[in-house]
Amino acid sequence: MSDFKTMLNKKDSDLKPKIITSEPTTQQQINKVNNVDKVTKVNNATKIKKHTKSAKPSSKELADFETTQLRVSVKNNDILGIIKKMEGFKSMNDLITYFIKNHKTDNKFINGYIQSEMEK
Amino acid sequence: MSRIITVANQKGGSGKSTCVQIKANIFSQDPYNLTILVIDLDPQVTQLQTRWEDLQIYDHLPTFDVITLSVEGYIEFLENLIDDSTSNNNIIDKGILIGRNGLDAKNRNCFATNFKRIVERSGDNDLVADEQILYNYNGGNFLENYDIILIDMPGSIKSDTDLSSILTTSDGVIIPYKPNPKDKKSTATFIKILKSMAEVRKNNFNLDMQIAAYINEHRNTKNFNVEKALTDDLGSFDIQLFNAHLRVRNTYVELDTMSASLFQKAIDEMKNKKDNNVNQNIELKNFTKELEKYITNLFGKPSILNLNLQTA
Repeated sequence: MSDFKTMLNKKDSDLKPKIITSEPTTQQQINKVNNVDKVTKVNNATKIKKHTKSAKPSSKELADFETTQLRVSVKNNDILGIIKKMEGFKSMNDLITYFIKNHKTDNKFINGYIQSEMEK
Repeated sequence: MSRIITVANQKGGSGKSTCVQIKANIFSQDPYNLTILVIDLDPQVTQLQTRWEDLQIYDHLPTFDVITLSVEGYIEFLENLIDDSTSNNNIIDKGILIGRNGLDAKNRNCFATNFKRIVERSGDNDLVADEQILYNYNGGNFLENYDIILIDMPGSIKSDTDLSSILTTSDGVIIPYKPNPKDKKSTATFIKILKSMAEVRKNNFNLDMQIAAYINEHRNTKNFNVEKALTDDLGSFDIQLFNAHLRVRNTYVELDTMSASLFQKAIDEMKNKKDNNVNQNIELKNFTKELEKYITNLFGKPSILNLNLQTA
């Protein structure tokens, strides 16, 4: 084994397993509804808060947004679906709303995509 | 553990495939000797075709594997990977693989090729193999066989969700950049998208995405300052900027089938002062050094594949 590869393996050997459940527990689901921060954010809560422009929208905001603006069909076999499962979002629309709220100024392609879906 | 590195820029002709080829060749050889899988998502099947042709011409080649997949096939694979780590999620079934020993795969107990599917996709009869080579693959997480998985992105992807799928699941993204006003604008847009994906990745998986850019194929000559050009154009994005550049891309395309370590060769030739392409070798050496640092930084941090392995 090369020195380089050995060095990389050594770096990985110190890596602690990352445990995230694929389906949220009941308590986590309750936390979602109450807009409590995610279990996966615990260690980096401060950093994320610093870099994120706005917090995840409340369930009421999501519901309002969903009913008034969002009619999006998204394929099931995409990362949004994966994230939804991992994160416990209730629907794909919740997740897309989360995108919009957090990336409104920067993420033109997501907005463009949603716009095009809404016009269908 | 594997790391997924995607070479991407939505701007066509920016040098993605070349970057993948250089990287696969250099890091699969001395002094690195990493096991590398190239996943070619480009419908032009450039990586697969080049590798296939090289294996027929040259006796001794750097050892890495190439698999070509449709974007849909790759995403299906990713979804299964994260959904259920115990399922038999065989990436080989979704594409065409050329094993690291290519045509000798049968004798060396290596991986599979299914050339019939190449014909279906490319319509190129020259790619039909004499026989279908059987392989010795017993399921499990195929990607565990590799240190690095290099993804060659197509120039454009129709679906934004497909784009986000590939990017969000990448541990690292390297962006080739041609410094001119048109490319600057499109690359800046792409980096903004990428940063959003990185944030989503962070928020949802608590995983970092290591983004880097380098200058590829600039035509400026003596007074060109790589560091300044990158800083001026892309410095506001808070991404890693390689202090290295590849000036004439075609030169490197020709190099990628050489059997000796390109990195070592560049050093040797500079020492001996025999080579006419000294500048090229310096470029390559600098580029390799930057890549080395980039890869080193990727390890020791969790990967999306690590996430899968630990999914409860």
